[in-house]
Amino acid sequence: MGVILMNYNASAQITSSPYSVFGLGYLEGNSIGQSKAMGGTGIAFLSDRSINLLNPASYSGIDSLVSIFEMGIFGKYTNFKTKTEDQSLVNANFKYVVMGFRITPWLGTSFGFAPFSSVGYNINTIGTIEGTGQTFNKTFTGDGGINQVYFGNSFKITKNLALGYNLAFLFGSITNTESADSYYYSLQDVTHLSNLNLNYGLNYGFDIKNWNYKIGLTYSASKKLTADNETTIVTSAGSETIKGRNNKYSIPQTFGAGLAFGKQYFRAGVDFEMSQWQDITFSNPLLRTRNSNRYSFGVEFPSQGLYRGTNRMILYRFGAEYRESYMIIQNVPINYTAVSFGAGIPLRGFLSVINVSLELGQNGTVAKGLFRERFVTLHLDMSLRDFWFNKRRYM
Amino acid sequence: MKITGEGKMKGQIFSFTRISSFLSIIFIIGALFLGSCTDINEFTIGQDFVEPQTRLQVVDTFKVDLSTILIDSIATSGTGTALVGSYADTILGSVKCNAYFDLAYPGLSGVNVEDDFIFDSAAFVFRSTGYSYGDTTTLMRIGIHQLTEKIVPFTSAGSSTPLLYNATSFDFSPDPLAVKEFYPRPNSIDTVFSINVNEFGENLYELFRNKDELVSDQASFDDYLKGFVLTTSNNENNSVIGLTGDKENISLVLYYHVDQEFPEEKSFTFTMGESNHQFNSIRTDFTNSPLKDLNRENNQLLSSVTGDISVLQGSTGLMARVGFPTVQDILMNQRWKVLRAELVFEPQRTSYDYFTLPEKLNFYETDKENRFNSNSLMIDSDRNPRLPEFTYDEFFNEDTRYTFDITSFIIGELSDYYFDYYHGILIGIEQSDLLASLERLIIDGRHPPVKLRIYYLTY
Repeated sequence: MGVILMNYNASAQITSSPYSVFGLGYLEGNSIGQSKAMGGTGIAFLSDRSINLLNPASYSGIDSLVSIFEMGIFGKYTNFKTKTEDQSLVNANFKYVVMGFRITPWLGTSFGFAPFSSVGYNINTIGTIEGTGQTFNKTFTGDGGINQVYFGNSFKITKNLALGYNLAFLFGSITNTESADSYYYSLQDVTHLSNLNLNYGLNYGFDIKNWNYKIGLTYSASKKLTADNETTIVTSAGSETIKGRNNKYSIPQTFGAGLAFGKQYFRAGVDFEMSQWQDITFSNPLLRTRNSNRYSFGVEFPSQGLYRGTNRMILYRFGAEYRESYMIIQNVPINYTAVSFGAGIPLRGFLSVINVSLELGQNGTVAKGLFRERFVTLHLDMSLRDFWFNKRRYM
Repeated sequence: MKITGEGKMKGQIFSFTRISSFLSIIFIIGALFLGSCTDINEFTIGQDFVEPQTRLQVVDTFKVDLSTILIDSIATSGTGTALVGSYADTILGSVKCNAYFDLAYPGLSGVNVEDDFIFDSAAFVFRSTGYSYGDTTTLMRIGIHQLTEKIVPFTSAGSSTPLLYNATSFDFSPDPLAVKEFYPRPNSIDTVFSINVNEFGENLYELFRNKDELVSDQASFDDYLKGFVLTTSNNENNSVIGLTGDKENISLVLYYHVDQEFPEEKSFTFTMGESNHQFNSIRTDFTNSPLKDLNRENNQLLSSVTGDISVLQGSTGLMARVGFPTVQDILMNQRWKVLRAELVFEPQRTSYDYFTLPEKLNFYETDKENRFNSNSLMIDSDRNPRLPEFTYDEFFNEDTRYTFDITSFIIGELSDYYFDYYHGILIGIEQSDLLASLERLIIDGRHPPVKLRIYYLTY
C-alpha cells in the first residue's frame, strides 16, 4: 500500500509523460464529459445534457429549465516503451469544474476552470562528477502547466444559428527541476505564464427529412503569453535566485470545424481542428514544431427497451481520434491515436448523470531513441443538474 | 415523467447495484495496473530529452596545513576510569599513568572492632573496566603508595568547578605499601583486581580498635590517610589498564573473624572518597620522538617539523589541527556553489601495528589561539557529534582512511566571500574517550598529505 501511495503522490500531476518536457507540455484540449467517450468529438454538438467546451456557440443549447454543474476526475495507466526499456506509471487527478445555464431563450452562458496544457515528468538519470569516475543519481522533474478560467456566452441569433465566444484567462507556471539528493542541490526553473484569450464559435443546424444536421466552426487567434522566468539554485548554503531566461511563449491560431447529425436520441459527429504551431518556436534544440491536426469521430446511441426516452435511459458512446501533435522530436513527429467508449448513466432523481469513459491509445513511437506510450485512461465525469430557476413550481 | 413510488424504488436499487458492480470492476482493474507500476524513483525513460544545466566537479588540490597542538591541560578527575600503567610508544616515546584516589571516613562506628575480633588480612579491591592499551601479554607491576599530600582539586581560569588535570601530581612515599605483579587480561570487564596490604591494614585495624585519635574524626582521618596512588614501579611495563574509578568499585577491605567455636569470616570496607578526588596523571616523554620540541610554551608544531605527522591522543592533550590557506581561491569562480567538502586523511602506515586505530574522532572549530569547547564541537543535523567515516583496509593498509564531512564549515566560512585562515579545525579523540583513554592516531602529513576535497556545482 505504501508503494502505491508513493507512486500516486509522486505523480499527482495531470500529465505523466516525459514528452511533456517540451514546449508548453501536453495540450489537454477542450474535450470534457460526454465528448471524452466520443474520441473528443463535439465541435458541432450543442450543450444539452452536459456542457460542451469545444465550441462556445453550444451553450445556447442548454435546457432552459436547468443549470448544469460538471466536474471530472481521471485515472491513467501508462506503459512507456523504448527499444530496450519498459516502464509503467499511474497517475490520477481532479481535472475540471464547469457550470452552465441558459439565462434567456436566446442567451446561454458557461464558466469554469479547466486545464489548457500540463507538464508532468520525473526522469532519473546518472550524473558524473567531473574529474572523477564517480557517479550520482540526478533527477529531472517537471510539473505545472497552464490553466484556464473562462467565461463564455452563446447567442441564439435565429432558430438555426448560434454564435458564441469564450473569454479565457490563461495562467499557470511550468517548473522544471534538476536535482540530486545525495549532494543536496536543486536547480529550479519556474516560468509563470499568463494572458487573456478569446475564442469564437458558430453552430448552424438544419433538418433534412427526419434527420437533424449541425455544422460547427471555431476560431481562436494566436496569442503571446506573458512569461516571467526565474531560476533558483538551492543548496545546503541556502537558495539564490539567478536572473531568469527570456524565452517567449505563444499559443497558436486554431481553426476547428465539425459536422454532426442525429435523430431522436442518436447522434454522431466528426471534427477537424488545425492549430498553427509551425509559426511558434521553442528554445529546445531537440524540438521542432509543426501544424497540429486533430481528426475525430464519435457516436452516441440510447439503451434499447423500457427506459428509452425516460430519465433512466443510458446513453452509450464510442469514438476515435487521431492527433498530429505540434511536436517533432529529433525529426520524429509525435502522433496520438486513441479509441474511446463509455456511457452516460443517469442517477436517481432529476437529471444528474455520471459519464464514464475509457480511453485506450498510444502516443509517440520507439523510433530514434524515442519512446511509445500506451495508456488506458478512465474518465469519471459528474454532471449534476438542477432546476434552479423554477423550483417553486414543484414545491 | 410519471414515476410511481414503487417504480422509483426499483430504479434506485437497480442503478445502485449497477454502479457499484461497475465501480468494483474499475477498482480491480486499477489495482492490477498499480501492481505493475515502476517506482517513480526508478523511472528513467526520457533521459535523452533532458539537458543538464549544472556540472558537478571536484577539486582536491587545496593546500592543507597540518600541525600538532598540545592542549594546556585535560581534566582527568571524576572520569570514572582510573588509568594505571606505562608503555613505550614506538613513535611518541614513553607514556606513564598514575591513578590517584583517597578513602572516605567510615566513622568510629563504621569500624567498630570488638574484643573478640581477630584481624585476618587486608586488601585494596578494584574492578577492571576492560580497558587496556598497549601490549597486555607482558607482565605488569603495579605498586600502591601512600600520599604525603592531600588530594585537593582546584579551580582554574577555564573552569569554575574544582578539577584535577592530567598534569597534576601529588607527592607520595617512595616505598610502596605493596606491589602486584600480573598479566593484564584485555577486555575482561568486571574482573576483580586486589592488592594485599596486610601490614598496613592491620595498623589501621588496630587504630580503630583503640579508637585512636588519628581516626577519631574526619579531619584526623584525612590527615592520617591523605590518599593513595597506583603507579608502575619500573619502566618495563608495556600497557595501561583501566579500573572503574567510583565509590562502589574502589575500596579497602579489612578481613577479620570473631573468636568463637565456629569462626565467622567478616570484613570492614572503606569506600573511595570524593569522586572528583580520583584522577589520573599522565606523563609523556617526547624526548626522542618527532614531538620533542612540543611543550606547554611551544604548543603548536607544523607537521613539516615533526616528520610529516600530526598526533592526536586522549588524556595526553595532543590534538591535530588543520587549516586551509588556499580555499579562498574558489571565490574567484563565477556561478558556483559548494555542495560538499570532505577532509580526508590517512594514518601513518607503520603507526598502528601495535596500537589500534580509534574509529571515532571529534572535530572542533577553532581559532588562532586554538581555543575550542563543547560549543565548537562539529555536530550533524541531529545535533550529535559528527563522526568521520572510517574505512579500514586490513590486508594492504592502503585504503585505511578517515573521511570527514566539513561541508557546513566550508560553506559557512565562504558565505561572506572571505575565508579566514585562522578558522581551522581541531581533531581529537572522541569526547567520551578523550579524558580516560590513551587511544592515539598519527596522521600522515605527506604520504599522502591531508586533503580537502570540495565538490562544487557550476551552472
